Amino acid sequence: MLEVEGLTKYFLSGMIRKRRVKAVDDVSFRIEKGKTLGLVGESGCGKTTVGRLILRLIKPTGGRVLFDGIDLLSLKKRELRKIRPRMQMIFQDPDSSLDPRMKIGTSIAEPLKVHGTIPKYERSQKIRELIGTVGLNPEHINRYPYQLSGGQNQRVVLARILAMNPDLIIADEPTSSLDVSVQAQILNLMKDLQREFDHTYLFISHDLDVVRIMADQIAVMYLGKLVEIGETRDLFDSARHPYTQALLSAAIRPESGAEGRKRVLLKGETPSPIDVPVGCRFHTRCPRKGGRCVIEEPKLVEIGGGHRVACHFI
Amino acid sequence: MSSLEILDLKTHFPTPDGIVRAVDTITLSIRARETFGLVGETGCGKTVLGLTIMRLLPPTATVEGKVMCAGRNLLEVNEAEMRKVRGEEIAMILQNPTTSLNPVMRVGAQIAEAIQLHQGLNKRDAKEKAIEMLDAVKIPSPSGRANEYPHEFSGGMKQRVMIAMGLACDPSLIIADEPTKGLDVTIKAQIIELIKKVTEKKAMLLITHDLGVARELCDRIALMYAGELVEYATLREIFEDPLHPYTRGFLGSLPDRGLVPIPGMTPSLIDLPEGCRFHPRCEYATDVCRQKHPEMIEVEGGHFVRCFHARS
Repeated sequence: MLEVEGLTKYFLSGMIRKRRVKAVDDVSFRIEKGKTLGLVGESGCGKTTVGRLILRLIKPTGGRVLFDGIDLLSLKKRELRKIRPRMQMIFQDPDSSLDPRMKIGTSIAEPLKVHGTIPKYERSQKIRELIGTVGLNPEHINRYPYQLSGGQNQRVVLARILAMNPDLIIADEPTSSLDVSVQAQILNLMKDLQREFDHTYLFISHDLDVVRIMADQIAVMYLGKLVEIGETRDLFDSARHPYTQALLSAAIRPESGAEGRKRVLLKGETPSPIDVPVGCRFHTRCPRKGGRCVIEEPKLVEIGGGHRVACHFI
Repeated sequence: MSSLEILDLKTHFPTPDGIVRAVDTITLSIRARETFGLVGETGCGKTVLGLTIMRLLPPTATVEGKVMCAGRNLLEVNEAEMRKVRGEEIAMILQNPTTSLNPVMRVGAQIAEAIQLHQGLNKRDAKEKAIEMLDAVKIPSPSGRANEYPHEFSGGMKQRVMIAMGLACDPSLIIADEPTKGLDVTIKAQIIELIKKVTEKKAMLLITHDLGVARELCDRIALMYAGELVEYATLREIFEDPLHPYTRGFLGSLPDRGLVPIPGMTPSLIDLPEGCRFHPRCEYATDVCRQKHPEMIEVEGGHFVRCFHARS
């Protein structure tokens, strides 16, 4: 369904002395139809850039993106426009994803109008249908985004996306601005919609607990590179990369109290993507660092069942 | 010995659309050296409660009740004395350090300012103390970093600066409002460990929406919903034997507890439901819940809950 190969994006930074920021460096993965890949990492690791590269909202420096066998990066503008409705993105902040001066109904009608998928006389019927699918009432059609809560607005965003009947949905932290009780509503809705319409999800998040529930496969990113990827269960039960292990233990869960739990506290902070450390990118913070890690960059190695890890100690 | 006692506190904001009951008849006490967690969702009034204690509200707010600290009611002391209370007796660590720090002032000078003001030290000694504080919150090479500006610090480092500032004048109570908001998980873990260490001998009111953080730091927890407390008890009781349907729903909606959402949404603080404020979203609601407003009752020693059906 979606295949990403060696996806790379370098940005140039600085006015006089241009320096390369390696935002995304040689990222590869594939997602089967109807499945979810969770892309996890901390702020600035390049996970959002991966999402934007796949949709070609920005141009990659290198690599390939195959969507249903079509090489997205070789498409011309017009061809790209035709395929865009099939790939949709949902963002973190629903309030800024909607036009504040547009009524909810008009917002949902817009994509239908632009892509002309449905004749005019059927549009209002379709809007009612979509509003119902995402769990809102017809009375919401004539409201404005400011009159709705964050959770309701995220439902409106989902309705807009469904209007396009997409195959692939890239969700970039779709619930991180919502309260937990509302987050649960939206995540459940997204799962139901996936089951009903066979959507393929790329679910970008920093929250491992959320990803665990949503994803079939998880990919962990650090400083632009994948460090570990595997089936959700494999990753949670037997994470092999020290960074994944630290992330899992750092996640603060109500379930595992302070008692009887050892936390791997990482030293320091993520280095800047301008000065990526030589060798393994993680070595500056790694509790297991050895001599080889400072010199040689580890490759992603398969350790069975699609579980791949980039670490010299595997 | 309690460090702070809040009695029947009400903070209301009159607006053209009606009265916003942000804090409604809250009573609680924070003991010396304890960490008390105030947990609730967006708009439940938890931040307003913190600001009410510090008297940092806009003049339009109307406040009733008592905030007792060291034998006097903070709501009645004059502004000059209040200024001394802030920082010396009670310090507040605000959420979002990026907007709380002065962007055009060196970090060391910002911390020194409070020290100079409260402890009467001269400029050089205050700076020395500021560097000491930066060191205490584990900022590497503190004397160099003290001369930098906030934009040169990362989010986690800025939060450390905020904590250093809060601790600078050695207050007996710290109010921390979402101190880990917006931080990455690995950095969040570092900040929690730091807070745990530096507040060991102090009382703290931790305001958060994150039960995970509360579980790491608190001795007792209060759940706040629509302007009022609905349950409070020890950490263990809240997690193992939650009695209020909202507390149960809140726990159940967490990703690692099954992700079962609470239906509906939080009511507006202007237009609160009749009877129990939670009844429109509560699966156990009966006629009495729709008509009468439940009082806080003590079900066991120190375990309070506001529900007609708790333990029945």
